[in-house]
Amino acid sequence: MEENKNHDTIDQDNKADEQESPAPQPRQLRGLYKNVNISVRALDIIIFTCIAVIVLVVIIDLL
Amino acid sequence: MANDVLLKMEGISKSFPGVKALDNVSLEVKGGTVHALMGENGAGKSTLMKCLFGIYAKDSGHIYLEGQEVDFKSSKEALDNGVAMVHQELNQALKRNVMDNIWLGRYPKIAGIAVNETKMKKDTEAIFKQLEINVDVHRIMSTMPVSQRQMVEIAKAVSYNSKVIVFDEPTSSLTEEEVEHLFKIINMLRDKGVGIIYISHKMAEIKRISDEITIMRDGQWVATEPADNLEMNDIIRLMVGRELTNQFPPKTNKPGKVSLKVENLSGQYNQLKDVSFEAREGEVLGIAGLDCSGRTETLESIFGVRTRKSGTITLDGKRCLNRSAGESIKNGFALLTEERRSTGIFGVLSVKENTVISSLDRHKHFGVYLSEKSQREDTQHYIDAMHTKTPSIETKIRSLSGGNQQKVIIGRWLLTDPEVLLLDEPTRGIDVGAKYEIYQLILELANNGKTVLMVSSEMPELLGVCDRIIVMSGGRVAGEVDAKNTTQEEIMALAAKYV
Amino acid sequence: MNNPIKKINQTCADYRHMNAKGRRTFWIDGILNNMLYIIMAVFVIYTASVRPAFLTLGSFANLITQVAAYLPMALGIGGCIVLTGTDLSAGRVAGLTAAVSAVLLQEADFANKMFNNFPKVTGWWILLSMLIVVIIGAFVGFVNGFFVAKFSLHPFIVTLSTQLITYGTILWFFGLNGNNGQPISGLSKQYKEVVGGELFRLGNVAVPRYVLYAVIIVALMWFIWNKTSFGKNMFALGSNMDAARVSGVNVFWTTIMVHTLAGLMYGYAGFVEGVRSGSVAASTGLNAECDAIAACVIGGVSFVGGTGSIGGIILGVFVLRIIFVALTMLGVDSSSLYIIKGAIILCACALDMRKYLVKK
Repeated sequence: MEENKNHDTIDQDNKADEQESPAPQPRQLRGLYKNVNISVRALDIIIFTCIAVIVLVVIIDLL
Repeated sequence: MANDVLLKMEGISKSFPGVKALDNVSLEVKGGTVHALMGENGAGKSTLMKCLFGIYAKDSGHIYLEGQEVDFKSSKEALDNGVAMVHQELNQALKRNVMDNIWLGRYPKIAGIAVNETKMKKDTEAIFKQLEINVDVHRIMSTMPVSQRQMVEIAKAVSYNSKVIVFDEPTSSLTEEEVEHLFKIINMLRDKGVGIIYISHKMAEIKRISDEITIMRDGQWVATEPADNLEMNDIIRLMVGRELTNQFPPKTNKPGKVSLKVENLSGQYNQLKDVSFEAREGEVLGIAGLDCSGRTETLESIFGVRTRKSGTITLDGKRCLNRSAGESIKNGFALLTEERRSTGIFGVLSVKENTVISSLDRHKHFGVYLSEKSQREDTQHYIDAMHTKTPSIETKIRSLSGGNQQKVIIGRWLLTDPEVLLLDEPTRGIDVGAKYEIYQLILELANNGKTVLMVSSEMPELLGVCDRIIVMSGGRVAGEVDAKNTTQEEIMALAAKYV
Repeated sequence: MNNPIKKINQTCADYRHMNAKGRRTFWIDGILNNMLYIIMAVFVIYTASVRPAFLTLGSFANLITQVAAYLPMALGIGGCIVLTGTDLSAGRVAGLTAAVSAVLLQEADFANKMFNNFPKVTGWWILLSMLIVVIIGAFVGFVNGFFVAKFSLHPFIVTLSTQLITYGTILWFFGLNGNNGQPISGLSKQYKEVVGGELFRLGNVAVPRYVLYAVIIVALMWFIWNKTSFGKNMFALGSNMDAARVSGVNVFWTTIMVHTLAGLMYGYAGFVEGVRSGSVAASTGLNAECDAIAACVIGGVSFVGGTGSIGGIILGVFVLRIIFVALTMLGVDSSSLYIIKGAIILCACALDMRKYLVKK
């Protein structure tokens, strides 16, 4: 079977390549994040929550 | 046949930093017709579609679906509104089965919670029956060949009862038989009143299947004509902006003595059986065959990235064990892989780094220190020689178009000074202009006495560039033909010999 | 040094071409991608205003001392991350090598000396001891790399096992010769002098010798990462393993060497650690890899693989240290520091993912 290897990791890199087609959301990443399926929105939420936690902890501690 | 305009894209413009990707482009697709969208890489076809599906936000212009203005923010929104796409990229969940892939995101549910497997199976089988697709719905995607996966992708688009379906390079991985099947499906859709946008580089197909053709160039609309009004030469001229008198460069290479001898090659974990052939210096040897016939496996086995059960490889009288890529490179072999995206390029690295990676020893001072200057010189040399379009040698390779990426990888291999070049589908997914340049490169290599093996699924390419062609079938060599004296039919007959 | 200037000019030109939406994305992405630097700046400014002592030369000396201490481990682990892996054994390896160095280099007449038959501590003996522990570290790294390369096991699993095995070894070691798990102290004066002796003074605070050693190590790692074929192979391998294999990169040996080199770094980190904290306990090095990994991710060594720079790692360590020095100065509870550290790591990973996900 002329199977193309390594289709598990779908490369979602930004390209001006004409062959690339619109990908359905959410997207997949490579490397350690290989099996993570997450949207930009979810990441933004995580980021802001972390920052909020940091700020809150510091403020509470200093009071 | 009075067909209403289903989809109208009007005055679409889109710019990226430094580049105007779309400049006031318009496209009208009538229901029950196939509208082909053609253009070289970088012409803007993909960008236009991305604006339609909301992947990119257009800077200006309007899109109307059945007369109503729409502005999709995502593929899902487009899908829900009846605009679907069959991707070339096959973004599928490979570890799941066929049914899961088709109904991803809209599983039929029992009481809104549990997935209704029976209904899913019934619906899937119904669609497959309608489209005459013969695939077991329970099969895991990764176990199926690319062509069948593409069929699933098509079924998925159809299952959304879309009014407009976009096919992006749908036949790049299909055999002739499957292409016929696809055309049957497209005709079925056409009769149902679906508006189809067909993006492809394959002229013959376009002429066969489309009703209208729109050509783009450099982000601008160039022409829209009924397919019957345009000849292949007209299309090429409009796409490229200049006359391309011939599709293939003149062949001036003269094959000399036998350089490469492959004897009784059998695969340990694949279907190769007793593959034997010879190739000569200064020759371009084509390898033809159907999708699963073992062409890629042959090249990979010669290069040492596939395990051999038995067989010998001899180059210029010297026996080569080629147990690994590194050893093969030292023996003078080079392999241009079939899928440059997954096994060829290092996406996050620069053009320079992609070029020098296989020949780092050339730049070593004192055996350790890599000279920046010589790396730059080597890279620049091949960029100039092959007219590779890139903003700079430090640009990340992933921002280059497919044809230019391929040139960078060819440059990588040329720097290893190989005797034998194993090319697996070297012009796949590359536009007409770049294809011609790559043919020129291949013929120049042959002219310089190199031995070139070329796997290709495009008959015209094989007949136009190669000297001899071996045809593989079912993992064996079915026959050998002379490119000048053979026909497509003869090759097809051989390809079917051991199927 | 044309590149930064060219880049700025290019960015300005691009910005002028952008429409409203493009500009909004530009600012949002810009802020988010540099979020941790912004947090650092906020902390710095706030702490400086509340505790002026923060901005003194002495405080800066303290900062670079800390950076020099945390840097070697981050440099080692950086390689593993470039290969899309990780290394959870780093901390314990450093703990082991710290213990071994301490034992080899205790003061000759120390009451609770572990072993009595080591030669008197001289310059050569110190050097030899360092080599011994560095080899120990490299050995553990080699084992990690071997299992990853040979059996295609994920580095997470392999290094998790080595972490536990190493910890077991540490505990066993601390029980030798009737020591019964007591911390090892009484380190030889010479050892302390060679590693931690004063290099120079900055505003009344002594900067130790290991800052100089750290600079040497940075130069060495920079050379390896950027000027050797090993370094190029490492990045290619991390970027795309299949393409690397086909291109002739020896995937097996490159993987092993990356982990071995990392282990070597942990070994060195352990050698310095004993002197830094005065004594070595079984818990030395616990969770040290967290700081190292966080520093790498903040510094641009993405888990996506194939990217990263030595400068970035230094910056990452720096940012992390500044934040914690500032927080400590503010009097933040040490338990809260753990919470904050965790949040920072999660934030850094999410930002990293976002960078490689955003496309519009």
